[in-house]
Amino acid sequence: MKIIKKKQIIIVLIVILVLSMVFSLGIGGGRFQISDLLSFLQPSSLLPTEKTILFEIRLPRLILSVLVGAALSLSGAVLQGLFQNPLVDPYVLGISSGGAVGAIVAILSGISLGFITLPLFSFLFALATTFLVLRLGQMGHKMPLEIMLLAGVAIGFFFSALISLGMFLAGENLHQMVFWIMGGFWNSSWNKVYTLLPFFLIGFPIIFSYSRELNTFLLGEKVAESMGVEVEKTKKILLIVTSLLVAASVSVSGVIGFVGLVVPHIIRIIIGEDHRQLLPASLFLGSSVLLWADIFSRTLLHPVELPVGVLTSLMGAPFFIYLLRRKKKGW
Amino acid sequence: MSKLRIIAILTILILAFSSTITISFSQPLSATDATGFTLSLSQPPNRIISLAPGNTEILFALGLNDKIVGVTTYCDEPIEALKKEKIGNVTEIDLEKILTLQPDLILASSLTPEETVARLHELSLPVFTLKSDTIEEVIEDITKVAVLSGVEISGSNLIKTMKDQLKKINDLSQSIPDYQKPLVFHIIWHDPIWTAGNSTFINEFITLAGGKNLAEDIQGYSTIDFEEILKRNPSIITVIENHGKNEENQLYQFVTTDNRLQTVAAIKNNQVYLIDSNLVSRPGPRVVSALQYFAQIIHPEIFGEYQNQEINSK
Amino acid sequence: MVSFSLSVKNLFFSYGDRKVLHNVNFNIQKGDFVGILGPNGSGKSTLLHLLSGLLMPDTGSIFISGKNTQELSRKNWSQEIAIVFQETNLNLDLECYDVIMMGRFPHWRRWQKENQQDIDSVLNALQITNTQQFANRPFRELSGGEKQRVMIARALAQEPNILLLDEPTSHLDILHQLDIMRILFLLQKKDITILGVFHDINLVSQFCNQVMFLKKGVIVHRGLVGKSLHAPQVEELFDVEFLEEIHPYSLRPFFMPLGIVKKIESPSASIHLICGGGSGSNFMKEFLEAGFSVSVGIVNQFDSDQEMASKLGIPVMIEKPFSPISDDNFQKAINLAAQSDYIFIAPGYWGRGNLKNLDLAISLQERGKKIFFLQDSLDRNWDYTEGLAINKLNLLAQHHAEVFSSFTELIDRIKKDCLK
Repeated sequence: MKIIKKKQIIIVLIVILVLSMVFSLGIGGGRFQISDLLSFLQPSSLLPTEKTILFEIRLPRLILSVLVGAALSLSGAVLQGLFQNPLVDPYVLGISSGGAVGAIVAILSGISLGFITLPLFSFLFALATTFLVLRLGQMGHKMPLEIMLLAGVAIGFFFSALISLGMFLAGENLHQMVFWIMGGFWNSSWNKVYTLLPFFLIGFPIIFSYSRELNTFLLGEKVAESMGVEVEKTKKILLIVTSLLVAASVSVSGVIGFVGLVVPHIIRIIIGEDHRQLLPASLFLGSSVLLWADIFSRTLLHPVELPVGVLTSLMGAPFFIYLLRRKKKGW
Repeated sequence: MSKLRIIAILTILILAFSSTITISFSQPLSATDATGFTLSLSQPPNRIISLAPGNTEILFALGLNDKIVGVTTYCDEPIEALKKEKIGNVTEIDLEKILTLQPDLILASSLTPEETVARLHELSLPVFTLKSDTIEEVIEDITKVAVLSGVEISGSNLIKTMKDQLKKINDLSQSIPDYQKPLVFHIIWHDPIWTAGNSTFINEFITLAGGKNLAEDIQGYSTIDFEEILKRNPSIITVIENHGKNEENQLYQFVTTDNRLQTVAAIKNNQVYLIDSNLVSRPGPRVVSALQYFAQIIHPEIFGEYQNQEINSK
Repeated sequence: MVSFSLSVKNLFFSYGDRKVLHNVNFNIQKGDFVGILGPNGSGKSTLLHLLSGLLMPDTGSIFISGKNTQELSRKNWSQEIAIVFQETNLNLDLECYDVIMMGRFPHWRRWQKENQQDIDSVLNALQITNTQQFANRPFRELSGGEKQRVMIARALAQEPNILLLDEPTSHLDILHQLDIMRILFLLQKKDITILGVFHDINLVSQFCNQVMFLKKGVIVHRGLVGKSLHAPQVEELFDVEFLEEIHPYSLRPFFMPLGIVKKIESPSASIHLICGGGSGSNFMKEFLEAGFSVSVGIVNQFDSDQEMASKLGIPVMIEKPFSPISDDNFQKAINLAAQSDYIFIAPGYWGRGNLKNLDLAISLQERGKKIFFLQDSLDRNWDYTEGLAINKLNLLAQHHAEVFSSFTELIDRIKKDCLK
């Protein structure tokens, strides 16, 4: 596919994202209301309640779902490229289990530092888990990725056991734990957006700057290194940056699955493996996908809110099976 | 609404009547529980085990504290319950322990796993399941326990007091016109926002107390879209208060300080009230007290000011 | 002072306890095309990995264009040396143009865009490797040989001074093997130094100008192909016997392994073969395979039996071309043949020129040597000496020469004797 066509597709994805964001501003009361949308343009004419709804609830929520969708699918694409393994998702290094355990510890211990308690604990535990896995997977100066995958799986199992234990001990806090783990954007606030934003503003450009390195990984680590790529340094930087992004995402919105795994594959089928287009396209598609999943979570059973993580898995699983059956490439 | 009230009152009268009939016509100690199982005891039980905190409260309220040989780890009311032998929590029950305690009456609840109840039946243990969804059903359950335990006479005081209080509140609130019924939002947790819809005790409390449940179109306990809270604009918010969980009540902090709720009438008019979580979630002798508190919160002009010890001490 | 393109000093490398390379030293000049040969496990691949910086030596230094590699950054190293590996069964969707463009990586800074120089370099690489028609096709659609050419193009896009190749043709069919060797040969003209590990001696002999023998981690030989690449060195390297020929077209050495014939350390018997005109070649082979040592004589120079014997390294008594057998050579032949256990006369034509060989047999018989020949030899049609040859053969038979009806019988007879 010519590069012009690929860029056109990316532009289409951006347009879809922007339109979806605008559309979601008008989603309330379980349906789309054009009046809500128009009132955005004249904020001064709004009642305080309406203003709060639009600017304090809907706007931060949609921004958060867009950012998290972007972070997860971008990280998924990067990790799939690093590990050269199609089954890899952003949680491969145990981040989600670590984050969940952190949240559970925060809930069970009863420690309260205000509203940042849960996100802070889950973020710290998520990071700690990742660094544990990185450390376990390291051999001297090298980071053999197959070993790291295994370490991630092992740690993941162990932490899953801890999560089960935590739920068992939860008692009346069980609901809270379960909902956190299922993932959702119900309590999106500007605070959460501000906490996440620096991670994304710094993380995204760093990742994009390594697009060409990721392409060289397609030829194999040996060939890449012989072409001047600092393979170990690249691995380290990309693993750390994606871990920060994913840990931050998990800490504010729980464990949302499938977006990071499936979106990059969809893009690969449409655009191909060149990371210079794959990465931005995954980012934009992932944002839209998660945004729409959140829209559905708010509207399907209004006024009850479904957990977004459940929706993405429900949407993702049949799609993934469809992808498997297509199995065009050697992936 | 008034039709419902009439039915409610009639039901109460009929139940009150039928329970007296039950008491006078059946000689052996016998009652039928929520699962349809009829338990008959040849003599009043001396070794009673409770499988739920609400049931424990019922036993204490009926003056049967000396007969209690086993309770759950969650049974903390009254304080004497803490001293009793523990047989597990509400969902994980130590069957061996129960066997060694040789109970002659076991009170299960709706929270007890069905397999556990089935197992107890298999072991030929006298297990009686209390399951209630309304205040009237709670009173009925208390009556059954009184019958089974042979304390109908002494228990009837408690039952009568509860029924009288219920009736009084009902009478007072049924005269309140619809437009004077404030919209009440009961919040159980904030992350996600968790509330009580219809078919819950909370709903009954709010309704019988002369208020309207913000979440009445939602079935059972559920999440709710944040926007709806703002849109529906409740005038009163009741907040669950956990025991000894945090130094400052996180939920209360959230409700009173989150900037998105600032426009809500309840916040603006300082109509945020703490309610003890155990009080409103246990089917037991205190249900009518719970209703009373809700009544005070919602209509202090009729029922008097709501006094919450916790709030006053802050 | 000639500055070398590549210079290796005192290189040692081991994988843990296993020593792989031992005190490797060599210099290579710009434009050399060096073929590295050696048996499996000799460390050839490891050497290339060290030269390209994928592995670090235990001790020793490598100098590329005069610069010590320890002072080179990863990128700079890749600007000097590019390496192509054995196989690519990668299933890449990327277009070949993009794959080759990746080779420009060492010349880019982090956010640098592709410029005209990059494009020129890629186009140049496409042209040299003759892969222009693949530029816009997905890499995975190509055949193995075509993929290798694209990989070489990728390496060339790095614009290296030195190109390393690790068995680049091992999995390719002959057409693609030669394609690639030709490309490399032409690259040499552009002053690119090439170092390639090959499994095929003949590819090295036909295309390289220098050869390096690596055995058990040590360089055992090094030099120009014309001087250093001959049968004895090759045989010592691989422990296999080779036949060396001159390739009729390229006029370079060409090696043919002698099947399963191994150096006979201790032959069970020795046979002197009287033959000529091609009659003996097959028997030489049969005797060698049976585990016997052979000597041949007397044959004229340029006789095909003489050439075969020489190639096989068999001791042979040679007479001047087109000349009758001299007395001097006759005596020498007797001395030679006397060292054998048996004398075998191969069936063939007899003329005035080689009749004396039968006299040789008679003299040897008088000295007590066992003479063997086949029934076929007594066929009159072979005799162009008007019966003289047949008479001599009958004479030999009368004096207890053994006549066999088939060669197999003869072999069996000798083997039986050996067991005694």
